[in-house]
Amino acid sequence: MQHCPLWWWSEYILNPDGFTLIVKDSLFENNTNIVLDAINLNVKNSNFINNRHVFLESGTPGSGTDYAGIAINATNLNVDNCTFDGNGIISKHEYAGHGGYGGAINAVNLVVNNSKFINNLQTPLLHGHILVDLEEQYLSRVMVKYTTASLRIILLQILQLQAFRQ
Amino acid sequence: MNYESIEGSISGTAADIFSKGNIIINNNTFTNSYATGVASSIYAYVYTTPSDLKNITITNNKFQSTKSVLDTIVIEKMKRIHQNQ
Repeated sequence: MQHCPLWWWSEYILNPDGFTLIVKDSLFENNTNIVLDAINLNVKNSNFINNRHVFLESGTPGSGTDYAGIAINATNLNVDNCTFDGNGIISKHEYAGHGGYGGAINAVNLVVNNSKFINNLQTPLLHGHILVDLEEQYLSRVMVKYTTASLRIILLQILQLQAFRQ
Repeated sequence: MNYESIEGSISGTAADIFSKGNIIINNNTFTNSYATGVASSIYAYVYTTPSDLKNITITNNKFQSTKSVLDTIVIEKMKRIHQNQ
């Protein structure tokens, strides 16, 4: 497994290949980076509350780490009867051009049953030219495959940008 | 012949779940999910080859008050590229 150094994680559980980690009846609350990071992970009857990565420092957009899965980041993940409330990523920058993904869970091979997802968020803050670049991508996508309801949201964003420029 | 993504994930994708591989999501509730990019709740990235097909099952879930730039659920698959050599 490839992991960042220990200091990078606020709450860190390492699980080598060929071993299944079982987490039951647990509460993970108010952590500031990925809570569970494992290969072969079963999580049952547990709550993940307000685990958020917040990054608002200055820097160069389009570079750095892509944040994902603040509550759980796992390969071969089984989640049953859990609650994920208020987990996610708030960042100022578009990390590596993406801005992060999977506010609560990032997984490869996933089973999620009987669980609640409430108030999770994935919100890079949009500023200046970054927003202009994204608009172009959004518009090209909408015209091909997405709904008019979504289009209205995008057009609203464009209007907001124009107001900001003025 | 090789495989290449049609579209990569965009800023702030999927507040609840981002997953690759085989995916089963049953009997869950998703409420007030918010993403500034695509897919407010679930983004499934399906990387398949003819010999390695993936299954996605999403049933009996309830999505309420989810918000993103585009959709609640996005399932992205790979595009097969033919190369003339």
